Formats: sequence, C-alpha cells, structure tokens
Amino acid sequence: AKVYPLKYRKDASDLPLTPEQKVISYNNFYEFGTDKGDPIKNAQNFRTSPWHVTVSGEAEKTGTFTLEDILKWNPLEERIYRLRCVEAWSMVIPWVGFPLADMLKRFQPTSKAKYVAFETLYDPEQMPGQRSRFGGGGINYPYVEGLTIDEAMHPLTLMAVGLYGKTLPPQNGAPIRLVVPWKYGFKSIKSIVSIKFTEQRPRTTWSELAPNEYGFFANVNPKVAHPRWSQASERIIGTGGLFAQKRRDTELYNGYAEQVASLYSGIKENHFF
Amino acid sequence: MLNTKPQLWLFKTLLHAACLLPAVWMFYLGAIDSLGADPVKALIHFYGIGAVHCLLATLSVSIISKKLRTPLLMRCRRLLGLYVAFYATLHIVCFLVFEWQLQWADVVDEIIRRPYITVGFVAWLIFVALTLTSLQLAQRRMGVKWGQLHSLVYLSLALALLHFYWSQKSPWNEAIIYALAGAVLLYSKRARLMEWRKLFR
Repeated sequence: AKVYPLKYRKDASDLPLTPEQKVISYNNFYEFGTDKGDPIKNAQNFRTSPWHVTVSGEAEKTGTFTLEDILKWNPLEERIYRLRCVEAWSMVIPWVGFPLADMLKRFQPTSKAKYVAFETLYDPEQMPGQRSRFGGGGINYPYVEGLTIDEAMHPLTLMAVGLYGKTLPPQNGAPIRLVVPWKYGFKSIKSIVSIKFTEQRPRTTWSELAPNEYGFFANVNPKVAHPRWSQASERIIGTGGLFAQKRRDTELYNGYAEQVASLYSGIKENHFF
Repeated sequence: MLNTKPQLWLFKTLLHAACLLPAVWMFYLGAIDSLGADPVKALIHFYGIGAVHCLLATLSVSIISKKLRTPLLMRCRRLLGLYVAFYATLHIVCFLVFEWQLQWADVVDEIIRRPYITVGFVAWLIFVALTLTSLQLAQRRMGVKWGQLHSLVYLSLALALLHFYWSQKSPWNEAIIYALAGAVLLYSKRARLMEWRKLFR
C-alpha cells in the first residue's frame, strides 16, 4: 500500500527518534503474523480505502463514518511519543494524528458512557493471522481494546493516522489507530473499525488471552514485573548494530506520570499488571 | 554413502561448515545492523533456535544411523553435541552482553527470579557438563557415572524446549512444533530411555 504525505503541525520535542525503517519493519500486529518481521511482508496489499468507523453505544450522535469524514473534523498534529512495548523495548515515534478527545466529543457521550471500546477490522481474507488460531498467536479475533472514558478523553491520547509525516503504513495499523503513550503498546489498538461507548468495562484481547500477565489498565510501571520478565528497564530500538545498543530505566507511566497519575488516584488495580 | 574414512572426514567438514558459518555470518549481520530492527533479539533467538536444532539433530543420529545402516554416522554425534553447547553459549553471551549490557546483578536476578530463564540456564549447565566430559578419556575414567551424566541430555532437551515455549509472548507459538518433535524423538527412544533408567539403580 502506498503512503502519502500529510499536512500537520510539527512537534517541538527533541527526543532522538527510532529510524523510520525500524518503525515500519518491527511490528506486533498478529493479524499479519506473529513474528515482528511478518506484518511488513503480509500487509502490503491491505485495503485501507474505503474505510468506515462505526460509532455506537452510550452517545447522542452515533453512526458510521468514512475515514474522509473523520479526517475533516480535526487538524493534524505531530506527537513524538515513546512507545513502550510490554516485551521491554521501546521506540520513539513521530506520530501524526489528533487528540481522541476531540473526536469523541463530537459524538456527545452520555453520562452512562464510562468506557470506550475499540475493535480492529476482522477480515481473514486480508489478514492471514485471523485464519487460524495458530497463525494468529491464539487470539480470539477481532482484536478488542478499551479505555476508561477519562483515559480516552485525556489530551495525551492520540488517534494516529500517520507517522514520519506520512499516512500510516498498513503494518503500523493503517488507516487509523490509537496511541496511548503511558500504557504498554498492546493497548494502542490498530486499524480501528468500531468505537463503542459502554457502561460496563469492555473485554480486552490480551487480558483475555493471559489474565495473569496482562491487565486492563496495563500502565507502564517499572515496579510491577511481568510474571516472566522484569519491567524495570528497557532496550531502546535506535540506530546501530549490536555494539551500539542502549538500555534505559523504565519510568512510571512511561515518563508521563505528571500528566496522567491523577487518573488513577484511588484505583488499586492499577498496580496489578 | 559414508562407508569409508575419507567420506566420514568430508562429511564432518561439511557439518562443521554448516554449524559454524551461519553463526558467524549472523553475528556479522548483527554487528553492521542488517538483522532487522532489533539485531539483539534476532541474534539471541537465532542462537537459541540453533542450539535446539543441533540438539534434535544430535539425538536423531543414532536413529538415522540405524535406519540407513551406516554405523560410521555415529562418529558425528559428539561433533553435533558440541555445537549444542556452542550455540547455547552464544545465546547466553548475547543475552548478557547485548541484551543486558553486562549488568551482572540484573542478569543474576533474572536467572533466579524468572522460571523460564532458570530452566534455560539449567539446560545450559547440562550442556557445559557434557562438553567438559566429552573426551573418550573422561568416558573411560568415569565409567558408569559417565553414562549417568550423559543421560541428562534427555532432561536438557525437555528443559530447552520448555524454556523456548515459555519465552514466547503468546501461548500459541512455533515452540509447540518443536515440543512435538521432541516428544516424537523421546517416544522413538523409549526402549533406550528404559535402559538408561537401569543405570541409576
């Protein structure tokens, strides 16, 4: 699939970026294969146009919208965020998108909207990982994720439609995906076709697959180890080969504690991974 | 095939090349950043899988040798077994040097606290013990103890495969195929395993 340049407001952050080639060739997108090198190979013919997103549930203005509609609503801006994978590595990626909050407000969620549930496209014809349990890492497709309404409305939460100044390549979740920088990467659901406002906490894919290893909140926390590996530090996917590798200490909420810690005052479960 | 000594010599040379060259080549690719986005993970995984491949090959030698009626093939078994230790050691060295940047305290902590790493580490200890006692001199000196020690190779297979399965993020992964291969291999050697058992009486 081709990518096109986007118009957007630049981010002034000076975090050193992960090279574009690495961002687009190292992907956890099990719909296109469980090896991180699979998606770039298997997703190239993925059709992202036409694309529809269905908005439903506890909101006044629900319906089905085309990607073109959605792109008209908000100006695009760049956000340079560190993506911290639950596998203890991180990348710094210049996303292009708009705050999820700006999009959600349009639908006028009701007072019953306590959560927002997201769903990835289900299309086994295009997504080989969805054809068999084995090929897709055991996930019960479609991939589903969710946030509390406060998390979804937080100004850091981004709906991304591009990276490195261009539209998203399919392997990175084209044409529209979530980016929640203070949570482990698997929360940032890709290729979204459904957004639903709910009163009850929605199911989420990884917490369903392995509930003792992946929680609903999945906030980055160096003190809470994954049952099988430490989360205290992470390896940076940057430039250079074996001898240019670097580790960094993982920060609480991936370094965004100042902005998001207040969301979790009084929620104990947050500390359970 | 493989009926004369020169043929055996040639075959062993080919085996050395087949085991050694990929290990060196992959390291070179990693060093020049041509091993995908994360050369460290790619190399650790390659060496780990390499050890498993060599281990499965080592344990298949006696079966193949019998099937093809080429007893000389058995002379290749030790060579393959030593490459198990070679690959497993590279696997651990890369984990220590490149993944953990020689932060020894963290690595020791990981080995003790993470069951899947503990299991892999024990498998490596077995490989080292078998390597250190791989000379015929050791075999002669140790007598029945040598047989007991080297029967641990079956335990190491189980531990290595468990380590592989456990290290994966998803419960449905390629390690299952290897576990099946390992189970088939152990099953086909069930008579032999019963014999080993007698050594411990």
